[in-house]
Amino acid sequence: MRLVFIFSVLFAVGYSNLWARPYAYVSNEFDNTVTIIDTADDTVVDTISVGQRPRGIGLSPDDRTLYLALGRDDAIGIVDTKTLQIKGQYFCGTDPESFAVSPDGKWIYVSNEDANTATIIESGSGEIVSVLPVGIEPEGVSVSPDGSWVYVTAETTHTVSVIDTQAGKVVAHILVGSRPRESAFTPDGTRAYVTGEIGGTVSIIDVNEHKVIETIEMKMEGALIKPKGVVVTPDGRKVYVATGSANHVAVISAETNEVLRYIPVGIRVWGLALTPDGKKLYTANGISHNVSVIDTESDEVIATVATGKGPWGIAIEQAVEK
Amino acid sequence: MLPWRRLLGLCGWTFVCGIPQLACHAREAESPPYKIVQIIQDTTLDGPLDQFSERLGGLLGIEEANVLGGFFGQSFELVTEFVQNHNEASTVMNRHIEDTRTIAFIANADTPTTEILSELAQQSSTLLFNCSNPSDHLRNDRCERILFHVTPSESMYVHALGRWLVEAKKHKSWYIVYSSDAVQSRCRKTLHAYLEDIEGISIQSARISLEGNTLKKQLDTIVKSKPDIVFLCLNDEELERLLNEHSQADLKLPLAGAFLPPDALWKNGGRQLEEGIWPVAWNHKLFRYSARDLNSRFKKKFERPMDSLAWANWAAVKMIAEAVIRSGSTDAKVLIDYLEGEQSFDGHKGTALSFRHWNHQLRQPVYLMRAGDNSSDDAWNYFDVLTPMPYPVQSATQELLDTLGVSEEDCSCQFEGTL
Repeated sequence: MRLVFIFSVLFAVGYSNLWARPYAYVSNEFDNTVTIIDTADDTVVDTISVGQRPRGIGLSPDDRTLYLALGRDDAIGIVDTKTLQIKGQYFCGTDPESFAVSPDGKWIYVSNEDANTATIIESGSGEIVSVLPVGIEPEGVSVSPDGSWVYVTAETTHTVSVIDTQAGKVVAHILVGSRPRESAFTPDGTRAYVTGEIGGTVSIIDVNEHKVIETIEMKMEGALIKPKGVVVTPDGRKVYVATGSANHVAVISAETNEVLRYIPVGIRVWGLALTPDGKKLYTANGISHNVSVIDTESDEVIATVATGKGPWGIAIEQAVEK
Repeated sequence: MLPWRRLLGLCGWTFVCGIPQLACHAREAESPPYKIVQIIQDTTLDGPLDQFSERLGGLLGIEEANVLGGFFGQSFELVTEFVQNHNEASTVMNRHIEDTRTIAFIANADTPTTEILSELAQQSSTLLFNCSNPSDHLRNDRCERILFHVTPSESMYVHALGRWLVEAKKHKSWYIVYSSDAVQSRCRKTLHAYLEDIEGISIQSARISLEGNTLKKQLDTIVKSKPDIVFLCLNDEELERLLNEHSQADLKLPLAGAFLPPDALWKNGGRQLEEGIWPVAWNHKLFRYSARDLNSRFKKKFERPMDSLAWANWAAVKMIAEAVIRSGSTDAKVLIDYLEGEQSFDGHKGTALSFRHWNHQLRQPVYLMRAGDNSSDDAWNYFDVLTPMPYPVQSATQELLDTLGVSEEDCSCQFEGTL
């Protein structure tokens, strides 16, 4: 009994320390590593080797498992965030690029770029429970906050395929801007924002109606905006969009749908992630091999952190604030 | 019994959705698809017709168009017609114009034939996409509002190559070898106009003549002038002859040209050239900015590399389908407005492609090719992609793309007609 008590205290202390300082995990596609950044002071605490060509990255709801889409291993890599050891791989069809974990942590939804499918994996066993045809060249995957809908963008058909997770099937296809890359839901799940890389657009979708209600055309003088990553702040008031080779992050008002400003960051910014309190935004700058840290109050870059080669995506621990 | 070739000839060569059929066969379907008619002109029609690059590019395009269309309850059919001359082309086009399902034509034809098809398209208010002919004449002097050019123009190729040779290679002393035909005269004129505005450039030029037994005298003259670069504005026959004699004499002239045929380069010692550089619209070795995905899809489906003709036909089919689906109409006026607007097209070239409103030329990067790996034993893989132009392609704005080709102020095109 005493041992159990001591273990419980140590366990709680250990995790409270960890959770007091959420970590950001950055996938580096060119050197097959993940850079781990302590968001409290924006220092690199570790770099671990993972499988081949890690791009898509995500955490289980309890933050204890890190998942990585390993494009050249045709697998989802699994890392224990406590030990930082690789626990294994789930094979998930060819060339996985992106995925999303359901809010209850039970399912992983993966896009298979070469196969034009989305694969649904049971996270505990790694069993493939379903393979659904979606548009051509599927890429970004996101899940609505209540877990009801999964959006899979398809770059060549310019569509978002909507998976009804209860029915386990695709129930709608939504035509959006040219070459859609990623999507993000508002915290209340009523809207979603979809980036169109070639169109230079952000499509706003009414989630219940499965239709585009507005398209934001992004323009910046002298630069070609190529929207890629997108996140919505926890209060739902602002949307941040990575502009790719334009090397800026756009700040959009969710109330007016206007671009408020463009924040200069590193070179070829793609992946974005917010801390659970929404106070800091992290950007993966693929060509400058670093991460820019943005204070979301001032919308200014407050730090730049060197990473491995080719940072692609970022996942930040969220459980601390839940 | 008629020989099968002659039997086919009676109806024209027609393929419908991958299955060779006679053009006179009617195809019935419960829900008729929109029809896109691809016209491929070839004077000889040698070789298996179902392996023509234009045909294969169109097939990949229609397959992808139908995936998108299928999501929204629409379908498209590609009908390919092979013709040998403009009479056959106009007959085929007139026949398809009568079919209300026909929403657009795709032309792969010489300039006189394209002009005729363009007039018919304008008269019938049916869109026409030019996928193989780079003629600036079609874009400036004989332009029609109904006609859109997917393949890059002569002047785009000349500007792309010229700019790279000036800016990257710093060539100062130029020697232009040209012929008297209209295309090559335009090539010389375009290059000359571009170069004469650049400080420190010296230009010599000479017209080639094939009348003698040999080009030795002309080649000797070029060698003696020691140019930094010899720019060839020559037709296929002249190029073949010049490259052949250049190779036999073991000369090391730095050659470049807007229309160097890879086969002729390869056969005539291209690997010995110090510079054998020319521009293309597409190459199967492109891999950045999702080009790898498109090349991979093409190779997987047809087991051969995607070339420029295949790319242009793929692109045209997809543009037509996307225009119909996004605009919600098959009316030519609506589709033209859509294509002339700010909608961008994803051609897997790393930047947004759109049509210039002043002559309907597709804005796009082109790629400079050069002789590559000496160990390659086939023409497909012997050449490498040197660079996209303009550069940097990943952030190529409309303004940057418009540095290639005829500018709005220099364009003589005046769209007329009711559309």
